[in-house]
Amino acid sequence: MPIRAEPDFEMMVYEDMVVGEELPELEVTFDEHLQGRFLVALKEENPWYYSRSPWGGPITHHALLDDAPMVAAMCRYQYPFGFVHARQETEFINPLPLGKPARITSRIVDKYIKRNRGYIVIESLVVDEDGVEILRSRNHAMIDDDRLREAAKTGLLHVPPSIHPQYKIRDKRRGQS
Amino acid sequence: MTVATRNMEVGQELPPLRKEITLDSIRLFSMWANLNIHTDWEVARKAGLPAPIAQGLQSHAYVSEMLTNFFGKNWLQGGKLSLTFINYTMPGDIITVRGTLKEKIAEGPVLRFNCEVWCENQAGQKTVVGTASAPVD
Repeated sequence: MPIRAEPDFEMMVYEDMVVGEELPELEVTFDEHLQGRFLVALKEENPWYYSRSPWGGPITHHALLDDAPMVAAMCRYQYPFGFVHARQETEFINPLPLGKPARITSRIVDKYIKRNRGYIVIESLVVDEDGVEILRSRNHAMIDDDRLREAAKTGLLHVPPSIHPQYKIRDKRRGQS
Repeated sequence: MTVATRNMEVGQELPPLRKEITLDSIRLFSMWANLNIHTDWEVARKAGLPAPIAQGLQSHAYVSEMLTNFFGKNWLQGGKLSLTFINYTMPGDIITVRGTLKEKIAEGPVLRFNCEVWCENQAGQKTVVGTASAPVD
């Protein structure tokens, strides 16, 4: 059966989203095992992710970091079927060594209407434990409020953050750390 | 591995990348143990989809793989990618990632290549479109 989001989580409704809102901060470390699943899924055979890279040892595949804006949003809001990933902008600044902890900060930087549909833009910055910038990404998500409310009635909601155990979540709003 | 060289000509095609999409690959990429539109037929149908669909970021990773092959380490240390997801990718699809060199811009001593990139399925339908750029040594 479909997973229901945490009942006390707010619904991510376009009209309620506020530009400038800071989303929960995340800390994460990806290991060989976790990365291995991604590499198998992608049929990615570049040795940079397994053994040696131009920077020394193996590096973290950025696909593990690209969804940081969505994960951050999921940690505060119910993540509904009416939430569609429409566009992604990514700036690759430095590779992250595999196994090195990363910290991710995110906020809502824009919202707009296009063809009668609402979009929000979430920007994330990933830095390593030494503060070195790794990756900056912007995720444009379409939020269809009507479809979302319909999905909520049937329980067709997306993933609560509890199934992302690799993330440590710090949400100032909820006082979690 | 790097293919990009400063003397490449505008209009030249980037070496394409081909990927076969399976439900297993979609589920593994989603890395989620629950049932959702990326992992389960019934949930996908309830959401009005013909089949479980791949996350947009799976195509994003494929585009980036092609660009890593092309730009080498400069892609992961100076690359910029902007993609719009315009069609679903589903199990059974064969996706080809393609790109074309659109312009070469001097940024001081560095030369940056701006490219048009896209993914197309076996029917020739574009699923992802966008732009990419990176410095070239």
